[in-house]
Amino acid sequence: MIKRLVAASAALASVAALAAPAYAAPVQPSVTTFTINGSVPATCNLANFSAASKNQILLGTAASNALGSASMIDSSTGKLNAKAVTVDVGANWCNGVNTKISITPTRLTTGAAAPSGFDNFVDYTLTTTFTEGQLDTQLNQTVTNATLGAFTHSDDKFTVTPDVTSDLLVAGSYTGNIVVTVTPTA
Amino acid sequence: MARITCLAAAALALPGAALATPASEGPAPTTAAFSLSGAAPKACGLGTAGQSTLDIGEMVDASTGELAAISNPPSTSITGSWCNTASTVSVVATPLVAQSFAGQPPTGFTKAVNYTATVSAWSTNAAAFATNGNEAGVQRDTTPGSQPQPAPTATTIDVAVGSFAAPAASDFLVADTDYSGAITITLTPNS
Repeated sequence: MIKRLVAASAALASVAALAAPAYAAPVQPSVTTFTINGSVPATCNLANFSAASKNQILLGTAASNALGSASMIDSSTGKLNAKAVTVDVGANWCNGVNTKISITPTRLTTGAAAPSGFDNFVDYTLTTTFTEGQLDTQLNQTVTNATLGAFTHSDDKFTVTPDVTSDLLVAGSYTGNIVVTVTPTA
Repeated sequence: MARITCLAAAALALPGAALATPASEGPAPTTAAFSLSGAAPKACGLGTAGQSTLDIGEMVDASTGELAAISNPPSTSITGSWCNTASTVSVVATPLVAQSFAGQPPTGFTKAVNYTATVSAWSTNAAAFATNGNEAGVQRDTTPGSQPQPAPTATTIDVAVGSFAAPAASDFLVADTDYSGAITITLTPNS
């Protein structure tokens, strides 16, 4: 019996001897951490701003933007009688919460000299769906780097309303502009 | 281990593509210029005449039957007249003609009285037209008198009449309760 036990112990010892090499050189786990980056740049889609069909505003005695009806005066009085005109620049968006906008409207002028009682310019107020209130060219009002933020607009508009004046307009072709700068900023 | 290295290199390559445009540069601003245009066509407008009729009164010298001396004839003004460019004012008139006297006047008589219409205060020099009707009231020359105005102008135009005369100095005036003529004033923008 004892012999058998000894034999059994020998067997156990043998097992131990077999297992011993595995603990002598343990395998260490290999861990690598990967960083995954991505970005969403501040972007705007203002495609209609530069479309030729959208960015021409024609003032006339009719409340439309139809090219060819460009007379701004009342033919019986010679005074400004241009109606407000709205140009629709459609859908626009910007995704940057700090997106800035600047708007500089400039009065319409003509090169002809204006004697007393006449004007050679036309002032107007500008309202837009980008800003509150209105900008009056007579007061040189502008918007400079105002925070516009992230937005999606389905139907942006610019409305130009000529100022009322008691002066006559000298004959000529009148031109002005509205410069809009949108800076996408995250 | 070699496989891990390859995988790591591939994984790191992905954000590298996103950084191809450095974030610090930022997207470019979008600028658009809306052009505004309109026109004031060349135009003129005559305002409102203070009087539409200038009544000369009785024109005959009762003692001679000829044209009387007409002193201080009425005048009028046209307020609120304007042209928004260089312009020309012109005037043309017809003689005072007896309206109820039909046919030719007898020899030695006239049914017409001539006069000069003058339009001033628009141009440097007044525009004038002298009627030149014969005894029957027929004019041989209807070329308007005109004067230029080189600048846009808005002012009151003065209209006067004078220099009344029969076609011949010795003409008798036929009797008629209504001698009438017309003065036409035109403002035209220069082309």
